[in-house]
Amino acid sequence: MAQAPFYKTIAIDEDNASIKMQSFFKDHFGFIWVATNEGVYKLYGNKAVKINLPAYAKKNVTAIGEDAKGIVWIGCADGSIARIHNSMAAWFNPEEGTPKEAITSFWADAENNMWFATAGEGVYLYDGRKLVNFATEDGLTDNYVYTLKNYYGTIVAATDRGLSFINYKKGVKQIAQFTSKNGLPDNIVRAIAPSDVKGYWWLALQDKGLCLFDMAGKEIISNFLTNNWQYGQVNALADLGNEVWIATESNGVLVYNKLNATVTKAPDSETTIKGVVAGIAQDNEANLWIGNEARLVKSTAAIARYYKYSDSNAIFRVHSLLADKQHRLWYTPDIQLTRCDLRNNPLNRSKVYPVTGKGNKNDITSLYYDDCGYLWIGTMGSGLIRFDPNTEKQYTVTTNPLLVNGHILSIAGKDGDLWVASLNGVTRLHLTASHSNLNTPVTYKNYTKQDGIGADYVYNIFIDTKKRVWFATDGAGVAMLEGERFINFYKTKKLATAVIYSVTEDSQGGIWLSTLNEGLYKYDGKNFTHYGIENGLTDLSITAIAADANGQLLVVNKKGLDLVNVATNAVTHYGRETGFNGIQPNLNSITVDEVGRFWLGMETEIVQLNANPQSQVLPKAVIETIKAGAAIIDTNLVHVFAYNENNVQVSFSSVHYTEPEKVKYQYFLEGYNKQWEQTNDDYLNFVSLNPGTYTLKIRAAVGNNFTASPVASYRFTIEKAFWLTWYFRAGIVLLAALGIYLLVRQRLRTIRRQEQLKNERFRLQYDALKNQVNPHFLFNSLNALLNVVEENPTAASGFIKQLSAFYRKITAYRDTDVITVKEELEILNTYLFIQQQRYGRALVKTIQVDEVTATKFYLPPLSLQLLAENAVKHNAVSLETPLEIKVYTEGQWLLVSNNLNAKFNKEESEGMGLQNIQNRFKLLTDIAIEFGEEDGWFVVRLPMLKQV
Amino acid sequence: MSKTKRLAILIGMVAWLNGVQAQVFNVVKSEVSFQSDAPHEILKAAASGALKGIVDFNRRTFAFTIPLKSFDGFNSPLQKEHFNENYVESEKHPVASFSGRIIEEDDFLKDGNYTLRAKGKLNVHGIEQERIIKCDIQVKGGLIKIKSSFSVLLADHDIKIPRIVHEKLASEIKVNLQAELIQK
Repeated sequence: MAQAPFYKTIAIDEDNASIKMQSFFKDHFGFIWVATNEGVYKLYGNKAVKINLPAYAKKNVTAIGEDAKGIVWIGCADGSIARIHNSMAAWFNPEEGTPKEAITSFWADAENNMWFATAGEGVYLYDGRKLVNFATEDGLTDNYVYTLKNYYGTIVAATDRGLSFINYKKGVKQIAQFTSKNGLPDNIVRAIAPSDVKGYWWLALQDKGLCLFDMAGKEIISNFLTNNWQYGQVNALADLGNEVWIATESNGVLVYNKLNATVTKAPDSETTIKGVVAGIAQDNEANLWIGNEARLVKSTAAIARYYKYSDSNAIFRVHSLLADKQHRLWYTPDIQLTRCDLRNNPLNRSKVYPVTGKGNKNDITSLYYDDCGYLWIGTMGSGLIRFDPNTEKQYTVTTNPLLVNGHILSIAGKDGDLWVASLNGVTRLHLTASHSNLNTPVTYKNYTKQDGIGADYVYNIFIDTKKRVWFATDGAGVAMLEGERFINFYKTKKLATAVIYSVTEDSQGGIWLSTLNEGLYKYDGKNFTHYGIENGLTDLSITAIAADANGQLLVVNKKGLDLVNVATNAVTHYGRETGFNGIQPNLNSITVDEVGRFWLGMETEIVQLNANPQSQVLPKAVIETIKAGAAIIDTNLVHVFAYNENNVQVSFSSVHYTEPEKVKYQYFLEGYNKQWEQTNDDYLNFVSLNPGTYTLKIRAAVGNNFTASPVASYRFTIEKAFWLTWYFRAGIVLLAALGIYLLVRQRLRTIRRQEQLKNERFRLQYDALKNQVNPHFLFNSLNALLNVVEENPTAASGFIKQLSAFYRKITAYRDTDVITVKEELEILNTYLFIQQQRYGRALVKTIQVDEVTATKFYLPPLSLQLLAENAVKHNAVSLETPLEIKVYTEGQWLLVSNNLNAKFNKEESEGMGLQNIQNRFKLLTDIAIEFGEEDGWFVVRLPMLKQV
Repeated sequence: MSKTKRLAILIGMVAWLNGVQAQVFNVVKSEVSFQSDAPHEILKAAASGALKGIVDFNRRTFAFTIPLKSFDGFNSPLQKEHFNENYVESEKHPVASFSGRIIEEDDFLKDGNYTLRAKGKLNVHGIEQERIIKCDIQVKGGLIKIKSSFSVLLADHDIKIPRIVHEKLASEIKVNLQAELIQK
């Protein structure tokens, strides 16, 4: 009978059969990368996807590495190096230039320096700024370096001439050597791989096979495989514990079996693997990957083995198997009982015992190994047999009528109690010390359905750690015997399922029941909880369950195996991809050996499953790229997008190699979605997201249980448009407030000014009224009138008209703020006419204001008259010293000037005239009036006003 | 500079640099032959005394070169012509060479039999290939005898065979080499 793992072959590139695989690399996510002579590929499940390098897609890639920032380094045969970050690749261009020889290996140390090895230029260190070279001049054994490993800060370089141990501290290079002179069996060390013993490493040699090396002690531990090695160059290896799988240049994959110290071709590999095997590596789920020219072969070497008769027609119905405490596996192909030693090459050195019974029709359904060293064998139709493996003597229990020619389905035992389920009820045998004799009759007690079990057809009996005896029945659900009391949960209506196939207990004390078509139930001491498809199970028709000591429950169905982590409820599925699709498991044909391996009895084979909890890695979702707007963003650095970058595209993947075709995804954009959403795509588009903060979460699962899967998340914020930002809004409010404030202030000022204007006007009115009754002016005017009347009575009437017109104008304009310059000039003319009657030629007036200016501009009323009055008031007016009053314009200025000829006795003056004019102008315009003496002339400049 | 000249200079430099240490051995006698087991016609030839070479056992380096035109003993003059003109193009690439390093660290100056691996670049038809070639050597009284056989893949060296003669020539040529070296 041959055993083999399951192999699945994947073409690296469907369109390129001449591609040559060179090496594997596993990144920090767990993704497997493949270096080939025609570029670099990354493994997504069953698909190798080519990763584009800038410009040269067909580069011969010889090495792959990764630094602490997650940047993947790609080394090529021509010495060039590319770095891939966020799915974008760029060539590495250090100042010193890249090597001219092939890059063979990368290693990032704890300080995040990147070390890389070359085929001819020794080792380089890149510290982020500069390159440091380590070559034979520095003590390197050889400049042709195959691989680098970090051993507690020391870089171990495997070269053509032995190992070099590089230490580099503060610019000082220290290199120790270990070569054939020190006992290295072969100077060419092509690979260094960890062994299953800490501190011991396997060295893959060019000509001498493998040896085990103690890194700390720098000493060869085992030379066993180097003696008489005849399989040529070793390229890579993987230590799986009991076996080392070896990739060779010309002899395919070899397996070194540590237990029996043999080297053989990997089982069943001849047809799968041909030619150069360049690489071998394990993923995080314990799948073993073999790099074989243009193919990648995924194998279950570390997960599962299939034991088959080489003759496919051989009948091999394994209805029962049992791993005992002596590392032996008992199983029953057909009617025979077979024993083999699991510590040795399992199932190959087996011994077959004939079991007597009724002719050849015996079918062994159940096995139990008792404390006396006897095997109890349950048969279909031949009752219960006690068997001594040493003497091969058998004893058939005949004292119990239930068992004579009985049909046995299940045997369980504890503390001298042996429980046996037959088709017609259950019996409890009592074993004592006297039963060290094979043939001592056994006392018993029989139970039927009336005793509390509920049914006589019992598929399975199980005794838990609390010594409760469980009965899985056909028709009456599950019953439990606690002390002397039976509880049937079907009858107490705790559990409505009538057909229970088997009962088991996990390492944390949970009781598990398998059912005909309803999946599983777990009993926690109070309630039964259902586990179905929604909990991640693949199929509800379960044929067997068993638990190991590591908190795992194996659930067998025809579609494969579901391994449940009882603490987290995480389910790992093994199906088509691991060779479990189409298996024909037999009911309750399952056992767990002393080292925790599961053994399953099938119709045509036995399957062994290594359920290492560390390898039960759920699919891990990974966000590949995020595009906001048009650009791919650096998810490590950028978390804020502008208001118009609100179309977000996400592409994602997952690390899962065991059953990749069954991977499904769920996503949840917090701030957008209400709950997790399912998708079969590997990308998402969120269009026109509103401003706000979002957290994108993605998780992947095989089956329907997503809750235990790790979540990839990315938090981002879409900024508000600037007109929606608080500072913009606050600015607008401030501006409005300022505007209102200014308006109000302006208004208040206007009101105040109008108030002042009014006051000034009142004062003017007062002055004007005073003038109207100024007796002096009146007296002078009347005197002048007297003269005119006497000399020229016709002119007198004109004088009177002018006087009356003057008074009328004063009265008319006293309530007005401004009047036209023309009107002002008319008042002035009237006034001066009156005064001229008095002074005659002693008063000279010159007015030079054009008509346009006179009508276009304005002045406060009576300003000119006041100034003329002032001039008359303050100057002597006589024929000897005539008073000359000039009115003329200079741009927007109206100038009123008079020659100075000061009086000796000044006419009484309040000095209010000029002040009044000044005040009124101030209220009407920002331009102040100007006045003063200029060359013997008193000049007043009045700014002419535009319409106000 | 042609590869031949460069190699000659290299040999010269190696000899000069190591003259003092007196561990440099020169080829004094040689027999190189090759043959191809093709279905219909066996291509075979040999060259005596044409191999030039130098081995520095102190530095564990070596360099060998052989003019391709020195091969003789073909089945027919036509075969020789084909060999020189069509296959190896000896006008363009007059020599084959192999230079590199010795991997093993034994003291080869002591009398005895050793197996060593020579790793270096094999240049045939102007194409270099990195090769590890195993040799048996016998050291006795200052005379070193080297014996080695290895194969050369035509595809590795871009030696293209006309379709008609494809069957005549195997894709792999087996080379046998024997040489005697003495200290310079």
